[in-house]
Amino acid sequence: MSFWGSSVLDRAGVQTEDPISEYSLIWTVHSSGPGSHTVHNPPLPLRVHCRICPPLQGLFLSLQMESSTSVLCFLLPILLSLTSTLSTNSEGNALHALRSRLSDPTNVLQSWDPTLVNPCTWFHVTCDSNNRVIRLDLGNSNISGSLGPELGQLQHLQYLELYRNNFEGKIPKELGNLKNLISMDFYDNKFEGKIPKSIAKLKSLRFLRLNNNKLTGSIPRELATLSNLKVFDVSNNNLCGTIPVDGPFANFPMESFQNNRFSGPELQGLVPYDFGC
Amino acid sequence: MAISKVIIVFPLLCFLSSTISILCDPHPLVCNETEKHALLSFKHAFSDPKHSLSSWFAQEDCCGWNGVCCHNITGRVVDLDLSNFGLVGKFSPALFQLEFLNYLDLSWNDFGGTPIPSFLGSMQSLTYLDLSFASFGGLIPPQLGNLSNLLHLRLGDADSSYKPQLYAKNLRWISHLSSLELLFMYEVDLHREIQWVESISMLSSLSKLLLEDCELDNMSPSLEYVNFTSLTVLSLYGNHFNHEIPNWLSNLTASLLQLDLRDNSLKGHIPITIIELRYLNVLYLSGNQLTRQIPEYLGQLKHLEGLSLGYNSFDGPIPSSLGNLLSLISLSLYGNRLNGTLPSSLWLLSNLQTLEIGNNSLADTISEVHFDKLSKLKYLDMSSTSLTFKVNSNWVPPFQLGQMRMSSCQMGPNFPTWLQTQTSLLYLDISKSGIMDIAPTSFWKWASHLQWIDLSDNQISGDLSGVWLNNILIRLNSNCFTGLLPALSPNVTVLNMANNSFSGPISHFLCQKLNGRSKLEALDLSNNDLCGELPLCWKSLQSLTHVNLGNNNFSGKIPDSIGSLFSLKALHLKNNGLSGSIPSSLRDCTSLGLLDLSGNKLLGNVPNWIGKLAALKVLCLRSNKFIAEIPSQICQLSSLIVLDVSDNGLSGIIPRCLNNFSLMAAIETPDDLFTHLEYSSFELEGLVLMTVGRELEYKGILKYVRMVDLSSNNLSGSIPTELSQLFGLRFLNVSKNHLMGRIPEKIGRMTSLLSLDLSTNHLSGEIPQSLADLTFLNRLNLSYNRFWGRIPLSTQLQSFDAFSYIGNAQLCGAPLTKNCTEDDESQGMDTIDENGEGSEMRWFYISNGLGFIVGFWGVCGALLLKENWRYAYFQFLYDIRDRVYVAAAIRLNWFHDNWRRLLVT
Repeated sequence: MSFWGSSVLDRAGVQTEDPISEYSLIWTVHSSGPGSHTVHNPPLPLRVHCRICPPLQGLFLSLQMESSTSVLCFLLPILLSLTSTLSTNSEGNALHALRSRLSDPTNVLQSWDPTLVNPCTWFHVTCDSNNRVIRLDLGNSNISGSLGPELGQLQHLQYLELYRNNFEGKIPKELGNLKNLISMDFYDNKFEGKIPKSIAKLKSLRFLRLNNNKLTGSIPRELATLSNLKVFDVSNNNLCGTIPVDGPFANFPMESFQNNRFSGPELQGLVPYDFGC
Repeated sequence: MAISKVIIVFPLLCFLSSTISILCDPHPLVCNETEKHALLSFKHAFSDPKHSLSSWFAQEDCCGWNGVCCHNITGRVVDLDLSNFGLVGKFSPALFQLEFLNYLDLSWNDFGGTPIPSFLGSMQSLTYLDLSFASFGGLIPPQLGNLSNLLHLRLGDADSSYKPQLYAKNLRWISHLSSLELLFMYEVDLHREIQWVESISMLSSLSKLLLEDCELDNMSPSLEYVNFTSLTVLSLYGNHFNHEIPNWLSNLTASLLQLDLRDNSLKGHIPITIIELRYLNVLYLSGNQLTRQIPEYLGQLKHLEGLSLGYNSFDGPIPSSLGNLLSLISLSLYGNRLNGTLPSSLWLLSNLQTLEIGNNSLADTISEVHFDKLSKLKYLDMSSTSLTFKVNSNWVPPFQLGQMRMSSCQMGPNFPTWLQTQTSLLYLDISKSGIMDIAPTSFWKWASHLQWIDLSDNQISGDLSGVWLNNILIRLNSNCFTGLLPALSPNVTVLNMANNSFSGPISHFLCQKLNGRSKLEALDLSNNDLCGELPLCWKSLQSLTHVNLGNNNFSGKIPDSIGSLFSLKALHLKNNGLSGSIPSSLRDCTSLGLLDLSGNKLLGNVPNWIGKLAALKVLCLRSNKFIAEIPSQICQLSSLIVLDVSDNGLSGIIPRCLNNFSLMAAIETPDDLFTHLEYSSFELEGLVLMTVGRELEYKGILKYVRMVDLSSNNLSGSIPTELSQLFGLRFLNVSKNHLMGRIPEKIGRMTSLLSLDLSTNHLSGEIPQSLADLTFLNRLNLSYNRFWGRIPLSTQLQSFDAFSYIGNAQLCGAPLTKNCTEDDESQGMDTIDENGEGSEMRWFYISNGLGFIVGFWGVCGALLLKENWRYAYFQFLYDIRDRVYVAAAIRLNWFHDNWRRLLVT
């Protein structure tokens, strides 16, 4: 028998008496976890702390060589604050919260292990060199479920690719916090509700493809201020009102708007923008 | 003297033996011959490896046989107790002839999955029938319902690998067993029986009902009333109930003492009717999905001695009424979402031996006074909480703990020297507890009696040069320990001292003389400052299965003797200064699943015998000096999930057989992929890999990685089309080689690809349109090749910046700034065959044809059309003919003359 299975280390091992010994009613039951009846190893901790000791030592050594203790006093708080921010893993928590909302029949998200220090080794998640999430590539992955406000915490996200899935519910307005977002591809899903106005805050946005969903309401007028927008597609939705004509909207082809209930291009000053909604 | 002693002792012995036999069978009557023969033929149906039935001889009185007891008047066999006799075989129908058999216990034997014989149902005199843990299989005969005198019935499995497993379609037959007092079933498949409560509830004498791991789905939650009101023990552990705790339980008011509903999927909250069970002393509800707060009214169950509510989803605070349960010996609230502070009444539970509140969001500061009354405490778990344990380091606690689990619970910054008062402690886990202090030398002396010690992930320092470690499991990793490596006792099984600052050589440490054979199985010394050569004494460490010596300064060769580690499963030697070649003795390590030799100075070929390591899943030879071809034998490693040979001097072609990596060809990951590779859930195999252009550590999810990295070598030839059959591959890097030809056209079928790097080669042709199908691609590098034409359009392909495509002068389209012209388009019109070869051949034939047409008609067309050219041409031909004719005639004459002259001479 392997050491791990030996009863010496089982929690039962410390029990001296067995007050109610009857059949399989074992007195010490703490080790019972869902779905397993064998001896349990201690459960894994939720977070693994960042190892800060050896880097500090390295710093000490290098600084001692320079024999400049004032620099040490200056750098130490900075270094400590840096390590503490790294160990919080708020982005991993946000993504894990997203995962808990989703149904993932083809196990695309099976590598999303919340006990890891950061989400950078999770598949379909890409980080920059500072371990900040910059891409989320989940196109065509049979995922269903809805998005939540937590996605707004991925402050450094540039590419949010969720196309060709079964996402439903509203597009959270918190996505307006993703100020570095370059691409938002939600096409071929079941998103409903309005296109949040907050998307107009995404000044870096180049690709916005929301086609083939069940979106309603009008195209937020404010989207015309997105000067970097190169590709825009809202075709095959249930949108209404008029289509902006200024800013980047001057260049988008008509196919980007077809199969909606638009009442035509915006006639500035003549008809209210939301006319027909 | 001696003889006289014998004279006295012998009759005494005779007397004793006769009294013993009289106790069981006072009559000189021998047992019934029919029954004896029945028992003998029952015996013959078994093999008896433990010789438990060696007393069963035809010549002997069967009433004296081992396990047989006869009635003291009739001499008929009444008891047959063969429990744990180690018998293997079948149930002989001969037993049916024991018509007065009252007690039959065949538990813990092996009936090899054969069914329980239905004739047992005719043995009316049976009152006790135990067939549990005897590996019976198939349908439980409903005839057992005829045993109307039965008091105890125990059925269940021992080896569930026999199929079909023991099962019952329904339990209606049980309702006829009107005298039944105990019913125990274990791992009997009862999922077909929906109304089991109704069937069993008829048994008014039933006192103990245990249906454990029986695949039951339903406890009839709507049922209002049950008849088994004398039930004292109810255990329905490990079934699949996914409804609320049923109301009928409160019918059992007067009788129920023990209720065990662990490991089901019970929902909702604990109903108030539970307080009707006023004599309850055991309530186990752990491992369910119970929600809301732990109710205050549980405090009314004054007789409770064991309360387990762990592994549920209870939230809110711990109710202070639990402090009323003064008989409580064991309290487990582990793994819920409990928050708030601990109620002060908790510290009044003076009988408490087990207190388990870990893995909750509890936040409080606990000091010495809290434990004043808990003098019986033996087991304490506060791990993974926000509790702060603030006690004086010279505290003398009133208790003597056996186990203490305080991981991720604030205990620092001072070292808890009070631990040394705990002389019975076997298990200590104070990892991640914020200790930033020196561990005193006296601590190590005290710690030598522990079995399990985990101080990992703190900032504990100290020089361990003179320390002797004697624990079965030792985890000191990620601390600030210094000095030479400590001395080890042969008891040490797991030793993790990674991420410290240990220095010096390891030979003295591993090769020291031990009093006994080393039991060391897992050794992790990675990320230290160790140096010198690797030890040669591996032969004396043959229980080793996991070795990690990576990121140190070891030098010299990998010793041949490492091949004597026959059980080796993982060997990490990465980032050292090791030289020489891979020792061929390693071919004997056939269990090897992970081999990481990257970042050394290893030379020579990648050995051919590597194909013999059939268990190999991870092979990393990155950044060494390996040369020559990648041996095609590597394709025999069908379980390989990571192949990294980048940054070497490998030449030749990429083997075409890489599609033999069947785990990379499959999309799904088998659940048990790493079961045999990883030491335990505590010591997961981690690996730093360059998957996406930078180093990332894969730990815990390594089993999901599928990677082929052949980059930075001198490989030539084309990318084999077979590579595109690795449908599960996630990371592919063949950059910085001399590869030619095209990207395999079917690359779009590798839909799991996350990162694809083909940069800095001589690849050419158009980028296949199918690349647009790779929707998961988050990193692509095609730069510095000879691709031409338009970059295919897809959401992913245009989401990369121009750096993914630069260095291909004839490539156009977004995201490159160069727009595509008509030329680029027309070049793209031609369909492209796989691998480019076919299309090159087609061009060859087309140009051949064109050349022929131009050449033929250029000449003949001109002759046809222009009359004087035609005359001149044919004139010229006649002229040539005449000249040849004349020349031939002259030569022939000369030849004839010479010939004749030769014959004459």
